Amino acid sequence: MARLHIETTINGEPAEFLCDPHETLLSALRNGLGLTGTKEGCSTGDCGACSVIVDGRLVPACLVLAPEAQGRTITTIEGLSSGDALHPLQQKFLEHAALQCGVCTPGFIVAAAALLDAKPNPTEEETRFWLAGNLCRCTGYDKIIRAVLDTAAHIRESAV
Amino acid sequence: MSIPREFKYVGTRPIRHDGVDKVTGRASYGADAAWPGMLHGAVLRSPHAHARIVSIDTSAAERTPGVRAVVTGSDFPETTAALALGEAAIDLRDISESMIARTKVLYHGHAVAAVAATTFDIAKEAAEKIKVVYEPLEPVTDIDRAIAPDAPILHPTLKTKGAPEGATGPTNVASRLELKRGDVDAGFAEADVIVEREFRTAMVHQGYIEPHACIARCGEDGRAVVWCTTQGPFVVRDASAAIVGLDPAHVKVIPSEIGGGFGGKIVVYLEPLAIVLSRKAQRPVKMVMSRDEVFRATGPTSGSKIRVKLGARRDGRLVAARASLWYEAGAYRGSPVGAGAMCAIAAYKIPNFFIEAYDVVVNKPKVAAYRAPGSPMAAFAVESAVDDIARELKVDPIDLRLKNANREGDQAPYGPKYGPIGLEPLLETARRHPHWTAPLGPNQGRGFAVGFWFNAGMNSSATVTLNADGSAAVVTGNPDIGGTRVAQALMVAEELAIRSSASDQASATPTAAASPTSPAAAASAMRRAWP
Repeated sequence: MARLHIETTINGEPAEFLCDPHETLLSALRNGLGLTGTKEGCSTGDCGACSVIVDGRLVPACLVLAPEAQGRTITTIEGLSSGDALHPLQQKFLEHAALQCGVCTPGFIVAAAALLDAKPNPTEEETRFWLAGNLCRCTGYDKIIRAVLDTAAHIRESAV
Repeated sequence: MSIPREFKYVGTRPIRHDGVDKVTGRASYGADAAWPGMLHGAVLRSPHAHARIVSIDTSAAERTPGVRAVVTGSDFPETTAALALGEAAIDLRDISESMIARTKVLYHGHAVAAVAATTFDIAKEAAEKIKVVYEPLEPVTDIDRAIAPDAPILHPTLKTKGAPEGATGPTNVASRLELKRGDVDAGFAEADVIVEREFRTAMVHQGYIEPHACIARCGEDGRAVVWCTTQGPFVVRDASAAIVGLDPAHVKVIPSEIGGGFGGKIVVYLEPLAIVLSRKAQRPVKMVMSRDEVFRATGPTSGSKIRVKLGARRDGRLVAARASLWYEAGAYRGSPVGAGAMCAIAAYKIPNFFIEAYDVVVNKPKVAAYRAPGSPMAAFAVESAVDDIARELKVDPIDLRLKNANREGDQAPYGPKYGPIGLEPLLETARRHPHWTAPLGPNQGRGFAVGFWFNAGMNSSATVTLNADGSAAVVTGNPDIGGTRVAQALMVAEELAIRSSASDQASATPTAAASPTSPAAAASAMRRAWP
């Protein structure tokens, strides 16, 4: 089977990879491109560990075919920090201890980043609803929600 | 006995040492590593919960281009070794057969063969070409069927350990034990109120977000290196060595970051398969379970059937308890029913009791540890019955528990005298808390229950090195199960009275560089550092 050549933009940089037609974007990111920060928890779109942003839309990478990345713009967890500075969400997750084992954390942070891009001032209920597609087995969700709301407040204050 | 003291660092909440790696996606979990030249492994699993294996033909898989090795149960030696394991002991023959079936498959998803190939897709497709002829047998999926006189038998040679004299014949009951004190019939005779209830719980999976994953390399010299997600690298080393027939000194295990375990990542499922595939192919072999495989073929906790009878005097004193516990072991013996029996009434001072506990094999995956293994089901049953006593006597559920609470110096139902277990102050604190009496809103309820577990570190070790700048480095054999590094660092900082200590190596310490440490030790360390 001929492999497909895909050209795309990942975390602001042009990227290309070869993939099988049936391969998932998750597999291409992790195995083809070595971007293993995006995690595989279920491969059925239920756990959110593989959350990425494609053309501004939050998606589970396990339910996107790799060839669909052609010509798109993709953001993964590796693209959130800039230089030696963490993304405010990453900093707040640390301060609120909003992670325990950490394997769901990249998915939560990417999903929360998509939320704050779309809605800089979310209510607690909106935040909980938005993150309902991400599963955490260790910490409970409360610290995660607090970290996201605190980040939103921090970003708003910084912008003033 | 611990002496209360003021802590300077223990109990504080510094940013975790592993935090930045985990929020940036840099932390490397089981499936995140890749080794040069590695192959990918896939497992063929049984579509039957109970069947005899008539024949296995791997020739079509072996002929598939890209396939470098195929293994079945016959590639693994018979082992009779047993391995002491923290809060339990494991029979390695059972672990080996649960990992890959020999003559019978005993649960849906039981591995029967594994393939290593140049890509995962090739390995998966080749595995599906393996022809297995099964003779399906009636599956035994619950306690009642398993203990029925005409039940299908999972293991023809199984005998009931602890059975009464004269018990003979094939059985699915692997063991029976009793705990007793006083005269239970006399106790019930003096009771003013008696409740008797039966409870059932279903098997439940630990549900860690990270599926099992490993890479193994086994060279011509018979030495193996295994990278894997595990709560117990030394268990993986010793179990894998025994199962594949290597000297434990020739197996080095490198634990990855672990994406949740909850007791379920102590047993080996993939590692010995990957070692033997690698030895055959002379290439590293990576194996990663799908979520489906995790749920079908790795350890849940026991489903159970529990009968409880409690008797109390009108003044609220519990005077008698009788309980029967049947726990599903899964396909191989070893449910945590013994711990369930020990924990069931451990919170209460009951002068007369009789508890019997049965370990029952059924056609489900072999159970694994899961958060105080065995205790939650017993607590669910006993605490529900205690609440019923409170209802009958029309007393506050916390008051009833306070009246019967075990205290320091009381004798545990399983033998020793308690140290400072803290139940009484805990109950008093809960009773004073405003939440206990706050008015309830619509769709709100309120309940109270007590749980019991033994705190044990088992064997554990740490190496602390003082650096030139006065900081300290800590190396232990524990993987970081979600805060272990910082917990250990805080304890070292406290004891050495220094501000900073780093246990950054903790999770990446190979078995060859640390001393044997039990999986229970990591949990125990966390409990001590974050009181």
